[in-house]
Amino acid sequence: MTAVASSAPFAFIRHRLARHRLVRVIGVRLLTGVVVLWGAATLAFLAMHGVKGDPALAALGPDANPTPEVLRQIRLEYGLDQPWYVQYLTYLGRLAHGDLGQSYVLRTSVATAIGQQIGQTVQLALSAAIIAVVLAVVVGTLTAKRGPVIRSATSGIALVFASMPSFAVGLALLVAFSFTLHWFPVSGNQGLASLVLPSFAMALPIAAVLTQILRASLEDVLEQPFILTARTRGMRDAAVRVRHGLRHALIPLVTMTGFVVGGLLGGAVITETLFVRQGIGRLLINAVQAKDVPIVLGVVLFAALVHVVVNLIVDIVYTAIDPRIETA
Amino acid sequence: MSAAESAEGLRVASRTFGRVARGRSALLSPGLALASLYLLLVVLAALAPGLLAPHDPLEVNAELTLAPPSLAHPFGADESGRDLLSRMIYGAGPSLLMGVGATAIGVVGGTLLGLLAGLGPRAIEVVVMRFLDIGLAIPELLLALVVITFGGRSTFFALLAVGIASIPSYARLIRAQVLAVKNTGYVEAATALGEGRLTVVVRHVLPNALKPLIVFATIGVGAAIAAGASLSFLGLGSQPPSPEWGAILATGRNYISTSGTLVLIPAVAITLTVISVTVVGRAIGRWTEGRRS
Repeated sequence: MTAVASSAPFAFIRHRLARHRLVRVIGVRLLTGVVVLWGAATLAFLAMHGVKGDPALAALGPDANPTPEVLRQIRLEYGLDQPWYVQYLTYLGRLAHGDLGQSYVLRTSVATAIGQQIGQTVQLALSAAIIAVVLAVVVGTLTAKRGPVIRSATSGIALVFASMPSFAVGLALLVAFSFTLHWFPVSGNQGLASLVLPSFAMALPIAAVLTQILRASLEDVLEQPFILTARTRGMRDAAVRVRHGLRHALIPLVTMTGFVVGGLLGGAVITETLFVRQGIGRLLINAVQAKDVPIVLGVVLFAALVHVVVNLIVDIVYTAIDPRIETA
Repeated sequence: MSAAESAEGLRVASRTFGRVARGRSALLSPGLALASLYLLLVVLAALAPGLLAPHDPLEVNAELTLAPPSLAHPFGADESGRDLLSRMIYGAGPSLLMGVGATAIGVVGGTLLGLLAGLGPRAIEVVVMRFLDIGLAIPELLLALVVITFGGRSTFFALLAVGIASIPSYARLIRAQVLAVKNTGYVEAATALGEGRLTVVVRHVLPNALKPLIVFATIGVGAAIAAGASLSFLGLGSQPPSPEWGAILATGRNYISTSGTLVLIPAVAITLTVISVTVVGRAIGRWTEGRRS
């Protein structure tokens, strides 16, 4: 869209075409996203009603030994006496309103349970994402095209962190910085200090992958003619890397957003357990252990929603910053 | 990032690592030798733990409770006084089985779905693709947790869960390969020569579509080992006192402030296995690539 200015008389057409394309991209992506969520919801419905025997018994918890009277009451309450298609449509209707059902164990709604825990997880995920991206950009920019020794060293370190299971990263950080140096608390949700180690535990494996990708694309960019032009103008190396190289090299990083978000959601499960923090991950693990099916499926549907929304945003940003990209 | 998640991460990483490492294989060969040696040791421990282990992995000795490393017990002993080195050696089998078994499930399931999506009629393709979209929208660890919720907490369901969770990524890879191979000259030639559809698929499409899978599956074994260990760590996989690496680590976590070795040794063993598998997988990738060109 930057080329528009040069062809002033037709600018409005180009502009309208660009806007039209953006709308089409959004429309297609929105539709795909809705189909994914609908499919996920249908699978969740099948899982809850098809596989698991009597949902009324399940709703009462594993240890319940109810009378037929109580069971009938539950069936009425949950609409389990209705035919399956009525139940299915009711279920979809409730989901559309953000009603994910009732937890079997917690005696609250799934939406409330998620709502109570989401803040802590978002805080952790955001700080981890910022650390990961900053680390990747700094290390990637500093080490691109620096000769074989630096390249092998950073590749090796990145390989170690990308291969390490995130609980191993977290444990290593705990042993080093909590038990040996006593810099940070071992666990908990109190204050910034308790956020540092979990954030790094989640960020390091992601940063390892992002660094390699960023450096590879930066090395491609630094071979372009316009970099040579900038250098012949007498621009310093650091300025060339940051002002010219980084700008172009960042674009492939945007495609990794889905991977990063998935990594953060999965990472939260491990990290919150390891550092005994409140959050969605802990909620999920407790629910899996207690076989609290509505919570498990609720968190999974929530993850799918996050994935769909994030990818929609990424696609829009992508089409907006790089008009060359054609979307199917 | 969770370990299950890192399956995708490792695949992405290995692609870029491979790109970075291309043309400098000589530089990496000491690393490759070390990685192969370590994997050989792990496989040996998995096949014949009795040959290597100095003690019984389940033998309890109260006098040795949380003993630090010594000559008789190089890795020390755990909270019940069991020799940690022997437990690690006996744990290689379950960990390796987890990696190979889960990857096999992922590869077989992924190949079937990928072939269906790549070669099936349009209607089936659409259904399979949307199904894969759902799978790819949910982090692998979360998919694995759903399987465990409905299955139960055991080594078997952990393996099944990690395997099922990896199916969508393998299926996506296979489909992309099938679509690429489908339009090549030799497939066209075979069809023109009058070979049946099934013959073309089995003789030409499948072998060529599966070739890049070898590298991904190798690296996937490492990721699956890490994912299985993560589930054990969460208390959802192998249950104590079974000497599985993730389970050893999970129990050792309770003693982390006093005996760090109980946690660090299994963590290092798992990490080294994943790294070695990745390094070997990348080498295989370089060799197959070299042969093709």
